[in-house]
Amino acid sequence: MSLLTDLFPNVSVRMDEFYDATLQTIWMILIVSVVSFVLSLALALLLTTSKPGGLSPNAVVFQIVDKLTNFFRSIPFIILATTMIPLTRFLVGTAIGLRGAVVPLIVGITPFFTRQIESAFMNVDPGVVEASVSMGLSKPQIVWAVYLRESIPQIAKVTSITVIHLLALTAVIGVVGGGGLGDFAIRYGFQRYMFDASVAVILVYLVFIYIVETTGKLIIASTTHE
Amino acid sequence: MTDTSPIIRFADVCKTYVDDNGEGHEALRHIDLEINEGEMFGIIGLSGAGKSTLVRCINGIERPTSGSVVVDGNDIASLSSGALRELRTHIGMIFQSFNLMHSRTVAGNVELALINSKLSRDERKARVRELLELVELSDKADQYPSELSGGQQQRVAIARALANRPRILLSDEGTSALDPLTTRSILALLKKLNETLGITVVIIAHQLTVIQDTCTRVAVMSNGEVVEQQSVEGIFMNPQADITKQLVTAASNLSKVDDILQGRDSGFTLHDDEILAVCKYVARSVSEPLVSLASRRFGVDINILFADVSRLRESAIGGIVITIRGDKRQRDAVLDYFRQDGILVEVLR
Repeated sequence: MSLLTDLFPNVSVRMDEFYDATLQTIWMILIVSVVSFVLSLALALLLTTSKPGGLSPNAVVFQIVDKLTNFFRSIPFIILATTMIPLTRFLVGTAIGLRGAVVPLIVGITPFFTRQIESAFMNVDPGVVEASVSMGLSKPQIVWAVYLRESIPQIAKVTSITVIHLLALTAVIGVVGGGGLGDFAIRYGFQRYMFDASVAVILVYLVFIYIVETTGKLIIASTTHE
Repeated sequence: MTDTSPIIRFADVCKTYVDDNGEGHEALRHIDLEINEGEMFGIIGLSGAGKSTLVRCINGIERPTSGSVVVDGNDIASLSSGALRELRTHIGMIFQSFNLMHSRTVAGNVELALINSKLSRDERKARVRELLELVELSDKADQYPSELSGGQQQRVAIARALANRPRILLSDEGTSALDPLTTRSILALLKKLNETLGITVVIIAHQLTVIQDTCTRVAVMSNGEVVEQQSVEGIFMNPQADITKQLVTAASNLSKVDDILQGRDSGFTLHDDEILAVCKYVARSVSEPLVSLASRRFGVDINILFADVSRLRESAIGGIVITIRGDKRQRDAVLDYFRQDGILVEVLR
């Protein structure tokens, strides 16, 4: 224990704050991942089925979703997060803390996640889709039993990529009042020159990334039958 | 050939695709075609001839621009989407690339086709077992498609296509990705299904060899049109359209004679009293007796350069390229003798 106190003097006297920051970041990752996963899956399915040559081609729907996705993807996250403050206040009552962080994070990560999942669907063999049409499957059945089922390994892969990308965004949101580890590292590590605070945050992020990657790999390995 | 009414009927079917520049591309032009219940029907042509589009009109994956397609009494264009899906469960289809799902086991792939059937869970499992037995893959039920050979994967696809007891089975280049030996076993399976279950089979291929053992009638397609439609024997014996002649030539060993005619075979010389002829026949399984008989009877020397005998469904079809050496009177007598026997003789040189 004394070794830790020696190595991380400034963190060890702020242990409660450090725990809170870590928990806050974990909650951010969990809530945003789950909500964004559902949204992105729905948007990616909309793009895949409505695009020209898709199951239910619909130029209007496709163009709207496609252009909106590109629009939000092109805004740098720090600018998106600050520009969104009034909207965030309107939606959840505050622009700071965990509640304030979740809204811009969802808006920031979902376009990226949508494109990732869409690319997973693009990997589904069109021949397999045609075969299922020829067997008399309905469109919802094809979405469920073919598109989703066939792309599970790909979806696991892009989800782990996206969550790792999200980890970076959770640090950025800390700068603009979102709290969490990013906030901790900036306030102590950067503004008060407590080098050990930055290192401690980096170590926690390393553990997060390791967990996400390992889980992703396990899912991919157990669902791939190529 | 059966004398029942057609199960598939195309009447003046056209299909035009419009590309991004607004230009039309005619994939099908005025197709009139009837396929009878219980027959094995071949559709042959080079790639891009419109065969795949034609076969996709049968299960409504492609919609004709004009004309009507009637399948089993249903006008495809007038069906609701629900009725069309119902019809599709009774039209099995297999593909060149098998199109199995990689995320499902062999049994899982077959069972997916039963998703809309009214069978109970146990009945489904039993039906899947029965189907895998039919295609001789019972031991592979729990394996994944990637663990199987191409021929085995196509057998799984056939089991899947048969799941709902279809009356029609469509094969879109179903053997084109397979080696010759596997091709033969898949074709034998299709023929068996046709004979034992009475399923109407429509086979699309770009090679005549694929359909010659199995089909009774053949339609030849070129540039979106059916340019010729007749019995398999007729296609081989008396091809009408240029494309048919090319396909028949490509399928035959006799095409090697072209090398001689064009002087590419330097080892061959024709004597002054010698002629080069090609003889084609059907329903004659052995050619040697005729040749030796003629040579003894007319006192000529007959030399067989190439021979090619293919078995069609119930008959043999083939030909020989020969040289006949003797004086002109003797040679003509031999040719007359052959012709009287119903052999098509063509003197090449």
